[in-house]
Amino acid sequence: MGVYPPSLGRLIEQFSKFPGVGKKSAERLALYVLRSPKELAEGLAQSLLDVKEKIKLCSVCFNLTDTDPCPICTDQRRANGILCVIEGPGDQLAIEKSGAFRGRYHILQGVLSPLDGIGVEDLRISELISRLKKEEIREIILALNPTVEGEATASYLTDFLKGRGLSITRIALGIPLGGDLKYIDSMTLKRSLDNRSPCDS
Amino acid sequence: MEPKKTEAIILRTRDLGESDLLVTFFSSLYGNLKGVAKGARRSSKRFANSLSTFSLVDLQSRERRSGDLVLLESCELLDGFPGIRSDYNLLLRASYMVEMTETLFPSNVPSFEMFQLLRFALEAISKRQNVDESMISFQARAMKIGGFGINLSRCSRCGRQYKGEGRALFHPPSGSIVCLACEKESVMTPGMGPDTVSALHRVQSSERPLSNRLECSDNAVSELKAVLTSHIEHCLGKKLKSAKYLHPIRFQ
Ligand SMILES: [Zn+2]
Ligand SMILES: [Zn+2]
Repeated sequence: MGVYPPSLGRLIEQFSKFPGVGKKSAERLALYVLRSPKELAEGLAQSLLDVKEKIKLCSVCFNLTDTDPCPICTDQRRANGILCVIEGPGDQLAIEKSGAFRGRYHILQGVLSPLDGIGVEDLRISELISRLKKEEIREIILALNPTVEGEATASYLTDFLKGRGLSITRIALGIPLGGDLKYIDSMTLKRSLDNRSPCDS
Repeated sequence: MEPKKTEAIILRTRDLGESDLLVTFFSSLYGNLKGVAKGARRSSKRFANSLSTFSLVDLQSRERRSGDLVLLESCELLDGFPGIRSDYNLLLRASYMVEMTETLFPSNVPSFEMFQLLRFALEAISKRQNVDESMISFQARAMKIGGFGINLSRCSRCGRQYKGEGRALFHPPSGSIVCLACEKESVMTPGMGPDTVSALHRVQSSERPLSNRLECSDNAVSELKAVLTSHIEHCLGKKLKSAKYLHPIRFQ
């Protein structure tokens, strides 16, 4: 980094700490900032600080939010007794974009992963239990990713939630739209055949 | 450079950049390796979702000009051990097996024996065949293959030969048995009856990759658990991360 003046060198170093940003891209970003009007740098610096200062976890659903509780948890129209359990904030965003779900969420903040040292007590499971009565939850939708860890977590939760008078469902697993059977792995294909649905319903 | 084709078990995966996957696997021919699966998270065509933890796969890789990472070219799923996905207790055990394999065989140390052991142990627990006994057998065999077999023939203190009469004690610092004349039975030096010693001997010297029937009493099974736990903790220097979660269900 010796070829750059120290302040520019520091900016390159900061950018290169971002995921997926190599040294070359960091240089390009830093030079872009340097050549841009001052407002861009000011706006960027302020947004970076805002994110660190204002964003916190919703104390009810554990989603990222500016206000606590978050807008979804305070929206009475979404209090329909259905709770969608997901791994992280990115998953909530994806489901919201689809517009297919109008209930509330519970974000576990991860999945059970012994290899990474993540156990039951590291997830927001006890908080999930305490919401059941308070919000008169009737149905839990487990929308965890179909990874080994995600599925094992779903089966753990299913056992754990059994016998509480809840309907527990899991999002379906199968062939993606626009997919091609030739390229689908055997496990997915088997599951989609096992879970096939009648055409006249 | 020539592509390498080998069977392997996926030990770990981690997201890399926007669309790649960093994959750690234990291969039958080359041991523990790390590789990059380019575009694996974006398109499912080339890797067909075969790169999940614990999966047995057939994979083709190519060495890169620099660095230790290989480039994964294609991968086909042979067995996803679906049972492990449907039970957290099995996930815990499978994770423990993977962690032990990684610790005993860090990288580029091939061991076909270890590969076979891991493969058959994952298969056994996925099918719920004698889960407890498969686990014990895995622990004892893995230590033996890794060069940490327990010496069952003579007392490491006085050298007296153990011929199967009376109890023997396990002495973790020497990785060997000691006789009752040299040491007292305690948590530090757990005891074993004659049938425990012979069951351990059978597992350690078996010709089969995994013996998931120990053919000994329940009491011998609990003695084996205690001995192997202290042996593994002593040899591997640290507690395995996944052992922490295994503990409450280990003595169920
Ligand atoms: Zn909320
Ligand atoms: Zn002795």
